Amino acid sequence: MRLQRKYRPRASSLLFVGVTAFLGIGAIQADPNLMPLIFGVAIAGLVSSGLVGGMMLMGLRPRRLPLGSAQVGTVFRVRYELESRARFLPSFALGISETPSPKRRPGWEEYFSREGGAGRAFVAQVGPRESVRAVGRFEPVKRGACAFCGVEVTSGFPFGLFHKVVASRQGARVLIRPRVRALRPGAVPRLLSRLGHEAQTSRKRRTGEEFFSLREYVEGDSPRFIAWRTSARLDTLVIREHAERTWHRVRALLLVSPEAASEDVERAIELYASLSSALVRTEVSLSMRVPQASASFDGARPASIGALLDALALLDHTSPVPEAFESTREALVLVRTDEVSGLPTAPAGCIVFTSRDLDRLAKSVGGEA
Amino acid sequence: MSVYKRFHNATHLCATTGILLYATSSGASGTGFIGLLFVFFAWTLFGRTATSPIPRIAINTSLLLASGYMMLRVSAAPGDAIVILSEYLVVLLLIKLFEDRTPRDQAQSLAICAMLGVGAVLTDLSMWTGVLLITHIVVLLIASTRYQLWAGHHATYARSDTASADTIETVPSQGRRTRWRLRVVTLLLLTMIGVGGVTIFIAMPRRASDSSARFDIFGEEATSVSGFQDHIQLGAAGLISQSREVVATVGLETDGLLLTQPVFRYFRGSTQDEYDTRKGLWSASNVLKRYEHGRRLAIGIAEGDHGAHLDRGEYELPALNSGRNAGRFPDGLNVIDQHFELVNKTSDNLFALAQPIQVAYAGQSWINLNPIDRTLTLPGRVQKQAYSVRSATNYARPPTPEEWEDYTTRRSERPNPFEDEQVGHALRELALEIMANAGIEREFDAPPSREDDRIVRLFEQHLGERCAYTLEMVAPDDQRDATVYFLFDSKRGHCEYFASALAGLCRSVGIDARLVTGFVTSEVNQDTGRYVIRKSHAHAWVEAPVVESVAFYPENDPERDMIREDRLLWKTYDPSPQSFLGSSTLAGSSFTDTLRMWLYRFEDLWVASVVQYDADAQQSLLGISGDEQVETLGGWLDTMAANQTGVISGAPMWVRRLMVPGLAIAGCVLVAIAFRRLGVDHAVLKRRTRDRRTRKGVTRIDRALRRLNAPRPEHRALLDHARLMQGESRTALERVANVMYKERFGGSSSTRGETAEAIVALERLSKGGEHARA
Repeated sequence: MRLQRKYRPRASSLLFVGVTAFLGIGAIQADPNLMPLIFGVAIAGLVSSGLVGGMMLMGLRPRRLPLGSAQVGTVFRVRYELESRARFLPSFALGISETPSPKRRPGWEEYFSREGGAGRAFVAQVGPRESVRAVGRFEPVKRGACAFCGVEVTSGFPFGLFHKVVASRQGARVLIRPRVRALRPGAVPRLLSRLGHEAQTSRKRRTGEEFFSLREYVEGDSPRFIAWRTSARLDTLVIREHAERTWHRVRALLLVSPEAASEDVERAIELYASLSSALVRTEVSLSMRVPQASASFDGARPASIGALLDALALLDHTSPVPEAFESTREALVLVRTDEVSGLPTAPAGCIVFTSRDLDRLAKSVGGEA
Repeated sequence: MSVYKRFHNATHLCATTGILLYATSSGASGTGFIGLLFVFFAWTLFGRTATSPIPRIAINTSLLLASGYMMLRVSAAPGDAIVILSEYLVVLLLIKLFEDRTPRDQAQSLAICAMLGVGAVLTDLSMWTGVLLITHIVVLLIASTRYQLWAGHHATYARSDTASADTIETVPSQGRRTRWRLRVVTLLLLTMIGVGGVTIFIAMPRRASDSSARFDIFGEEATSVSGFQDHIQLGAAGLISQSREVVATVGLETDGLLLTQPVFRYFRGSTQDEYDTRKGLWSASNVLKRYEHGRRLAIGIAEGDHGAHLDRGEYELPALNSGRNAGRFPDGLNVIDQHFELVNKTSDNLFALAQPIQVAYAGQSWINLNPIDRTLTLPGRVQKQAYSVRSATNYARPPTPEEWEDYTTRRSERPNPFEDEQVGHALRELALEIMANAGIEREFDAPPSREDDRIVRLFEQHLGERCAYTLEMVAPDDQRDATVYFLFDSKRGHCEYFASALAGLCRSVGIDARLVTGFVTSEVNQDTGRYVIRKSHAHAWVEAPVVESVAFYPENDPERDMIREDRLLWKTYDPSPQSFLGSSTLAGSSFTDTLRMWLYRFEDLWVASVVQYDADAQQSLLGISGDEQVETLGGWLDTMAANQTGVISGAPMWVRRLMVPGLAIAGCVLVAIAFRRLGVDHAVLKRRTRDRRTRKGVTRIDRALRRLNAPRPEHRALLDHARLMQGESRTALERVANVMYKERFGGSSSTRGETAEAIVALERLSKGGEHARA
């Protein structure tokens, strides 16, 4: 692990040095005589602050623990471990954060909010030969893949005159998935009814839970399914049959126009992610297609959503759009951008949602699924 | 106890020591007491929350008022700028204690506490100030370390719903062990700083103590707050401070014997012979000032050339009746040699017992003797000044006849305020009544006589019987003279009022009395055998010309022996009750006396080893001399000071008065610009500006909605509220909400104009009177 140590001057330290210089001039004039004492204390404060603060960070080894995936709108916790190899001196007031990205290159900073202490962790103390774990709270604001360069530990202890930094290079890549919002109550049933699905009877007798019909008893039927009350009324044995509801297959498709504005694209992706997450929890047999991200999931289950979101995280809306829709017997739900240029015409019977529908279908921000 | 609570306690302790330090150094016990009460309230009532219980507007208004008041006071009394600024810092600190507890505000509080220490050092050098200063520094450093812990914690977790208990997963060293480690490290730091600070104090190269050039914008207008002054200003209300700061120590000697009896000694510094009834001001008249540089007594030259020259670098007085003094001083002369060590010479005046005849000191300048009032002056302010004076209490060397005639002629030409109708009439009536009761009569124009001594004694007795001594003064009405108010109305005052009243009574009947300011002390340090002069020993008394039998050398014939005959003598009268002077001699053997003795010993140690530590002491302690570079830098500073004085002295007084507040404001602006330029807190400032703008915008929107008869509940978001509305107002509100959210969360400043436009559109709609019930 390669460590880099540096002092980072701040305005307060420059101000203190300026005031100390003025005190020095007053002390040289030696009128009154306590001024040299104050000047001495100020100089000793500067020196001891630099010495003790620097020594405190000498034995520190910061490390970032393995990262998971992040999601816009959800707190992303990054776990750090601070190990002190010092023999005697503990370290105090340690702020842990990610090393700033090199200038002129898009860095992780644009993917995370920096407000309200987000993006940093704090450890009050690490004793000699101890290790402490801390968690930094990051608030992703934009989907995509970002890279962390390294971890740095900063401390202004003891007096905040100098901020000492120990940085270690540890590259890591984080995938930030799009936001998934909960849909409004009734949104999913309304969609299903629009799909026009009817329950189909299963000929598999005695399966399912829904009552289907009655028929005469034949040899071999289980006595468990005899409807005794009806048999008594009709004076013949009658068997109760159950049915199993099955649904048509539904295909959810996302298409984004290369010409669409960035906000339009993001809202479409957010709507698609939210809709897919909601549908996959129903009994619909769902297949998900994002041709521009080469993502295809048939017979999707809730576990598939993670993979879908990973694909959406990397979706580049300038990727080529398929010229025509695949022919399919599945009911088609299309989510697209408001901008339609470059998109194929939706086939008849297809239910289309645009990015504008996001606020109508989904709960307001804060109601993540 | 939480990190916040620990820091909170440390900050309040720091504020407490800071205010105590201010109160001790400035002698402002009242302000200090009120300040401590505020700290106590803030500590107890506002101790468990980081949110201020006081509205922001009240805090800002208080800050504005305090700043304005400070500027007014500094421009009115620029000489007291340090004390006023210290008081302002105390007020700022108290206001800060009631602000929201953000890291920035707390850092400002600590910075103010640090500046209070610097202000105290510039105001006072007493032992108590020193002790409190060291305590304050220790507490400040401890608070600073706790601040780092708290600020880091606050910056990370303040807005987080999950506190540190959630986010710090494994903390093996939290709790008692952390606290102990923090204490040990703090102790290590304090030791390092203490050793380093004292080492720098001892080893720092110093300039020779006779440098006199200093930056002084206001020149002669600068005054000191307490202690000795070369003028007397009556009529001010308030409590006179009693600082125990040591001004000087004096060894008194006669015939080689050390005088250590606890007898009151009057050390004269300055005289005032002119009274301005409009201002209540006693000062030296121009006539008297003419003789200020009349004679030069330096390096052992006795007044009247009756002494011997000594080599430069020595300042011992020549032996009496030896060398050139042989045969000059008769045996009957009552001579007292005084060996002064001034701790901090802040005026031109030197102090001496009455009738100085010889003086010696090691230095470059001349000591001047005023032949009329026989006061000594040595121009320049220095940290330490040693000199010796020989006074002959039964000796009078009167001014030459030419000098005296010139002085009396000029004095007779100037108006006597005690002859006019308003002041003089009342005083004269009282004086005549006192004299009549004693069966004495005196013509106003009669020459000084032996009877005058009796008259002055009668006035002195009258004042002692009818008036009470107090340090707490009440200002007279605008129309009344302060002396008349004291004599006939309040009958309460301090030494300056007693002296002024006695001088006024004397002058109203033609006795040309004058005021004297200096020190009166009977405090003797029995270990060193030296008299101790403190600021609280500053005193004012009266000298009046009376005829007495005195010994003197005949004029124009120095070879003749001393003769004795009736001559005009300025005799000392002290109308103040002797009880107030008290006795400061450590003669008792009780526990408190022993305690006081040790306290004074410690104080002597403080003065000798800290306050008087200079280049000479450094030379004797370390064996090193002052650094040449420091001398060069000092010389450069002197040149700057001289240039500055030359430039500024030509400017009008109102320009000079506005200079200090102007410089203070300019400094603040520069610091603010530096902060902005360096990008420190830039993100925070930007966020706060945006928040403020958003709040203002929402207020305007809500006002428009109320006018539309569709008020929005606080809990409902703008967009949600829009969806409950109808018609154009819904569209307008949706647009406002959209652009506003975009600006607020999109981080785009280009939408600021759009937001303003949308709000204006909504307001216009509301004024149109459309009603849309939500």
